[in-house]
Parts: sequence; structure tokens; C-alpha cells
Amino acid sequence: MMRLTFAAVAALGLLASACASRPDVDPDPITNGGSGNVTPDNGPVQPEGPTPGTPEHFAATAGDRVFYGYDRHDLTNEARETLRQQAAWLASYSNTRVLIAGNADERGTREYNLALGARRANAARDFLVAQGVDPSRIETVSYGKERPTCRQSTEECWAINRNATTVIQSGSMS
Amino acid sequence: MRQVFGFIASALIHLALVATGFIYFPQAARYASDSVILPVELVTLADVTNVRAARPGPEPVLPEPAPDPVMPEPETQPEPETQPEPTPLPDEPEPEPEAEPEPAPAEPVPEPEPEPEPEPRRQPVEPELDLDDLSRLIDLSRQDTRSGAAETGDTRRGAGEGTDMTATLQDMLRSQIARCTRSNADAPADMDLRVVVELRLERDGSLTSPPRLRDEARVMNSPNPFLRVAGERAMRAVIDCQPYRLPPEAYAQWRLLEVNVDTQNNR
Amino acid sequence: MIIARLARLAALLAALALLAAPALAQTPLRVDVTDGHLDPMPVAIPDFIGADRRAADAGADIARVINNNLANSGLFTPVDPDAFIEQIENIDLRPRFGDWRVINASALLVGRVTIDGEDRMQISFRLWDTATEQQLLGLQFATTPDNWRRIAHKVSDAVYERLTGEQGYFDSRIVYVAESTGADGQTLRRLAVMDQDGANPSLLTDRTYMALLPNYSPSTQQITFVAQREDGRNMSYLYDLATGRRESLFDGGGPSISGEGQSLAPRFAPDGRSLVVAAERHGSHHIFRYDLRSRILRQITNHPADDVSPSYAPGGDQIVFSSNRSGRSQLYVMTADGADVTRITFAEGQYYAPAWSPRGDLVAFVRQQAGGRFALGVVRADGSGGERILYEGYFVDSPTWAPNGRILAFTRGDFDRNGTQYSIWSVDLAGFNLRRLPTQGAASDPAWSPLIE
Repeated sequence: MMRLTFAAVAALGLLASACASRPDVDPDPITNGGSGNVTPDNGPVQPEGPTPGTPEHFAATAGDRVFYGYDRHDLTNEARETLRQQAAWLASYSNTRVLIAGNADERGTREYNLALGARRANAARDFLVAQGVDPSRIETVSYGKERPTCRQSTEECWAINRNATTVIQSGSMS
Repeated sequence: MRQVFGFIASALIHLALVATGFIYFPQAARYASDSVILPVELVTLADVTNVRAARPGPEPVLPEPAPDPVMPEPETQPEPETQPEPTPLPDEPEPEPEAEPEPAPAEPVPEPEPEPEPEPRRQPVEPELDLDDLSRLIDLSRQDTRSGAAETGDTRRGAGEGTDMTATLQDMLRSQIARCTRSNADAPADMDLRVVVELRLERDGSLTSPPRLRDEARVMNSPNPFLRVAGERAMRAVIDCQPYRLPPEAYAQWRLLEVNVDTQNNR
Repeated sequence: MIIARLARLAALLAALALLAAPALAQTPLRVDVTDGHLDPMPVAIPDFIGADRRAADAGADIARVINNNLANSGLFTPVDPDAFIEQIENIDLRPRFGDWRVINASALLVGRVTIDGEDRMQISFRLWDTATEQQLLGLQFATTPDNWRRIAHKVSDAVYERLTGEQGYFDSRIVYVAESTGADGQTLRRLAVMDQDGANPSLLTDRTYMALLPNYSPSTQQITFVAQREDGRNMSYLYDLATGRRESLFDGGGPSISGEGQSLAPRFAPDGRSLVVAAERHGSHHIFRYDLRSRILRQITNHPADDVSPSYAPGGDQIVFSSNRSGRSQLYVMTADGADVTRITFAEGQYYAPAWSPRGDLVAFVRQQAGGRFALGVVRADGSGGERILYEGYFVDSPTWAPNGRILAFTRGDFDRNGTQYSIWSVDLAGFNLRRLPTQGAASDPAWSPLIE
């Protein structure tokens, strides 16, 4: 049961991540529920879909965000897997730079969440660096709880909002 | 000769009145001097947010605010640059607060310390001493004193046999006064805010004369505003609380009260 | 005849002497009163009188603001003007106290407004105790007519102080974050200031960046805050109310905290000369002290966990902050140099956003309890004696003290499925008198100014 819930949350999260290039739009995790499973299981390059090397391509193939437990900044296995794919993608497109933004849900105080968001972004960055990504290509920021993906006051929403989102800063030169 | 005696007696009584006046009046006199309108200088930094320079310095990262429909932008704030000037002393004469319609009820006339019944208010205007009148008054007082003394005797006896009545009266008064007393529990805990108020009650439970705050000068002139307020709260409470509902048969025991108020730690 | 008279007089005098003796000897009954009530004190505040229409209108406005202030304090309850019997026509005459006692007014405030030919407004008032029939206060303020509201606050402070013994807080302002929705649907967060009673709101910052967590300087002339800028960085800023100028404290010309770290909400030291701020260095957040004159930034905590939300004691000798160094966020007190770090909270749940009381004895905090609900509470600064919860609800943040340390304002979040609703509320130290501060739209992050001088 726990496991099922988590899978659902993860799926929703991936869904939400599909919206990352349109941060203004609040994805509705309920109504969009059906078409969620876009996890790529092979290498960084997809034959069809977004143009390779673009932020859309990154999001679609590697997955652009990782999720955290409540008040946590340690990486889950799922998060590590996503970050490994991000690292592989970044290795393929070595001219890109990324901004990792840490986010928090609204169930914490403002300043604490700014710090927590920074911790989450740092955790993701440290993992990418450990995977061989040049630290000079990575910048981190914390949005705290100020820029939520999902605005509803539900556990599902909060789970989606507890993330570190990797955004391709400069498009691929390749 | 007769006039000499009359004069002596009259002087005695007037002296007594003056003396009692000193007992009650210092407070009134002090407040009267307070009633002068004091000029207060309003140091006005006009409202800080209203005093804005026209143009903030260049700021690379944060641009200037754009207009917002909901609240006025700082730029659109009215600018009351006007400085409320320090007030000069008012020209008007010290407004000595006077009772408007009838002075008597406004300033309750104090009565001689030990006396109960007589109406001293009448005496100062009495043109000539009337011994017969005085005798009558004394007779009245005597009656009162007699009954008082008898009951005082009872109290003494009671103290030997058990202080049930005393304790009961104390409980009754305690609960009645507590309901009228604003607690000092909100004052800082490390202050001694005990005050003592002395009351003299009529048989019907009303105050015979204004209550007296013991150590009034110490309390009311204290540099500690909380102590001053504690004194005022106690005075207000014992006045507001009248008439006291107490057994008339024990009047002699509750005719004079000493109320110790210390409500700081009642929470 | 004369002899008889004399004898009679002698007897009389003797009787007088006898009479006095037993009365003096009578022992008063001693009553010890240790209990009292905490009911609000009924105060009657008729409209301040004015010789002409303009002055009378101003007088009515002033009385309304004072009534509102005193009622909001929770310590007073205004008597309904419909019950008034005496019509005040001259404030220099003694009121008919009986008329005010009978409507249960313990205190009576009467005032007069005059506006002279040079547009100078004089406001005189007298505060009476209706029980003792004593004047408690008689003062006069002079100002310009457009400043009437501040005078009303000053009169409120004078009355409050005279009747409670405590410093007032009405002539103060609150800076806060006003929320609105931008054209793109994103939430905008901008600094705004208002009078303590919600009057005169105005915005300070624009919509191009998010302004968060403001705090006042002791002089009330400057405000610190965090800007979440377009580039995504959170940086500490200083805003000068007189000039409208903003200054980034730790980048640009200022000292750099670290290559890419963020700096959070600074708070002033009581002497106004330095700030204390949490900032990120080498991956975790520490407390720094920043000297505004020398521009020297000094790290005063160093722990791999996150230390945030520092707040000075009013003496300037100690700092309280929150840290998750024990695993969960708790409150700690240390000296201004970072020595003697002592934990002061120990209960279940997590503690955030400490604010040291201007009285010095208490620290206000937000506590997230087991189950996720939030509470606003206070604890003694040395951690002794347990804690007192003043408010419990769905969400609480950013407690801030009124200048006299009797009232706290805070962010309250109320559950709404479509997004939590944020507003600013106040509550007194006893946990009573919970009320919402009027703001236009959603608001959060209140910070109370000191009394305006």
C-alpha cells in the first residue's frame, strides 16, 4: 500500500516535471493522471520527441526533477537513478550548463524552507558532481516554498513540491 | 465672655476640620496641579514612509516599483512634510477643574477622622456656635460609640472563643472585592505591588468617606508606574464594590476595613 | 449662667475626647485580596469636541481611532456612546462623574480639537478616573491636521500607559509581505507597510522580484528583507524608508558570503549598528554578524547543520536562533559572539522562527507539532518553566512582537483545498484577543516596528 502510494506520487511527479518548461501552468495531477509514464529506460537519446540537447529533451529523457521526503534533503534511490540519467545526459551534451533549484512544500516556515531548498539543490548537485559533472557547469538556487509546481493543499501536491529541479541554462551547442 | 468661649470652640472645630482636610486633600491638591494642560512636544518625523526622496539611487538588480492597482505606491503617497511644531505653553489660565453644577457631590466633603455621624458640611457655615446642637450631635455619636464599643467587646470575646465570624467576614469581603479588582497579573513578576486601602463603611455597606490609600505618597509618586496603577486599581475596586453585602449584626466588626491588595500572582 | 455654660462646654469637650478614644482603638478588619479579574476596563471616549465643523469632524475621527486602538489591545472595552448621559461641552470642567459611573465607565477620556487660521491643529485631552473622580492625565499635542491619525495613536499610547503602567504600542507600524497574483498566475510577494491598526497601507517594492521576511531597524527608518531575485538567488537587502533606496548587503560592493551561497533574513542589533543573519557557506547555513560601519562580516556559528532565523535579545548580548543540529529544528541561545550555545526547547515537534521579546524575558516561536499542525508559543529565554501556547492552527509563521512585548503578530495560514490562505493576526501574551489585522488581500511575514519617535 505504502509502495503503491509512493509510485503514484512518483508518477505524478514525473507528470509535473513534464510541465517544467511551463512553470506558470499548474498541472492538475488528478485530471492528467492517465498518461504519466514517460520514464525512459534506455540511453539519453530518444529517437522521437523533443530536439536532442534542448531543455525539453533533457526533461523528457533524463527527467528534470528529483523528489524528497518531508523535511528531508537526502536522496532516495529513485532520485539517484534520475540524477544518474541527468549526469549521463550532461555528459552527452557537454556544452550545457544547469541551474538546480531546490523547492519545498508549504508545510514549513518561510526561512527554514529557503534553507531546506538550498540543501536539496546542493544534494542534487553533489550527486551530479560525484557522477563526473564539472561543478563549474552547475549553479544552485533555493526557491523555498515560493514557487510551487502544485498549489493545492494536499499530500500529493506537497510531495510534488518537495523537489530539486534541474534546468538547462544554455541550450546545447551541439 | 460667651463670645470668647464660642470663639474657642469654633476655632477648635475649624481646626479639626482643617486637620481632616489635610488628611484627604493632599491627593486632590496634587491632582489639581496635574490638571494643567501640559504642552507635549510631538517630535514629528513626518510619517517615515511619506518622506521619500523623489528618485532612489540606481540599483542594478531590483528595478523600481511599478504601479499597482490595489495599494498606493510609495511614490503616490501624500507628503505631509509639515512638521507639527512643539507646542508652546497655552495662554489660557490654568483650567482649574471646577464642579460645574454643584461642587458638593463632585468633591465629597471629607469627614473628621474618628467621627461617624455628624454632618460636618453644615458646621463651617454655622454663623455661631450652638452648644445645644453640638450636644445633640455628641449624644448621637455617643449612641453610636456605645453600640460600637459593645460590639467591639464581642469581637474580643470572639477572638478567644473562635474567629469564625471574623473569618466569614473576611471571606465575604475577599470574594466581593476580588470581583471588583483588576488583577496585576500582567505586570512584571519581579515587582512588589502590594497596596493597602483603608475603608470606613456605613451600616448599609456603602463607604462613609473616600477610601484611603496607605502610604499614598510612596505609591502614587512611585517611579514605578505599575505600583501607581496598582494603587489606583485598588482604590477603584473598593469604590466600585460598594455597597458591601455584609451581615448588619456584625457591623462593628466590619465598620473599619484594612484591605491588602496583592493580585500579581493570581494566575 | 456663664458658669453653667462653661461646665456644659467642659462636659462636652470631655465627651468629645471620650468619644474619640474607642473609635481610634477599634481595630480594622484585615482583608487580604490576592485574586482579581482580567476583564477589559470599560472606558468612555466621547467624540473630541471641536469649535467648528472641521475640528468636530477631526475630533470624531480621533475618538474613533482611539476607541479602536484601546479595544484592539484587549485591555479595554469602549462604552457604547449611545449610553452616554452627559454631553461633554467643555473639557476644562469637571465631568459629572455619576453620569459616567452609572454607565459603568471606569475611565473617561474627553478631548478637544482646535484648528487655527494657520492650519495648526491642537489636540487637548483629559483622562478621568470616574471612581476616585481624579484627573489622571491632561495633555496637549500640536500638529498639522493631516497628522491627526498619529496624534490619535499618541493619545492612545498615553491613555494606555496611564491606565496600565505599561508602555503603549499604538504609534507603530508593521511591515509585511503583501501577496497578489501576477498576470502569469504566479504569486507576487511585495513589501508593504501599514499603521499598527491596518491604516495607511502602502507598497514598498515592485513586482519584478519577490520580497520576503522583512524586519525593522531600531530607528524605524530602515527595513531588512530577503529578495528572491530574477536570477533565483535569495539575497539580504536593506531598504531605506526615507530615500526608497535598496542595497544588496552581501554582493555587489559588499562582502561576499561565499561563491554561490544565499543569505537570508537579517535582523538588527538593538543598537542598530550591526545585523545578524543566516547565510549559506560551504553547503550549510550559519549565523553571521555584520557590522554596518566597518562592513566586516563574521561567522559566529559553525555547525554542519543549518542554523537560521537569528534574533537579538533586547540587551544585544545574546542571540536566539533555530537549528536542526539535533536532528530536528530546535531553538538555541548563544552569546552575541557565538559562545555558550544552549538549547532552550525540548518538546516533541520542531521549533522555528524565534523572536526575542522586547522585554527580554521571553522568546516567541513557531512550533510544528506531531501531526503537522502549527502553534505559536512563548518560552522563557533560558528555557526554564515550560512553554505557553498562544495559538494553534493549520499554519503559523513569523511571530513578531509589539514594541511593548504584550502582543504578538504572526502569519496565519488557513486550510483551503485550492491553496492555503495567508493572513496576519495578533494575539496577546495570555493567548486572548486573537484578531486579524486588516490587509488588502493575502498577507504574511509581519514585522512590528519599534515605537515611532
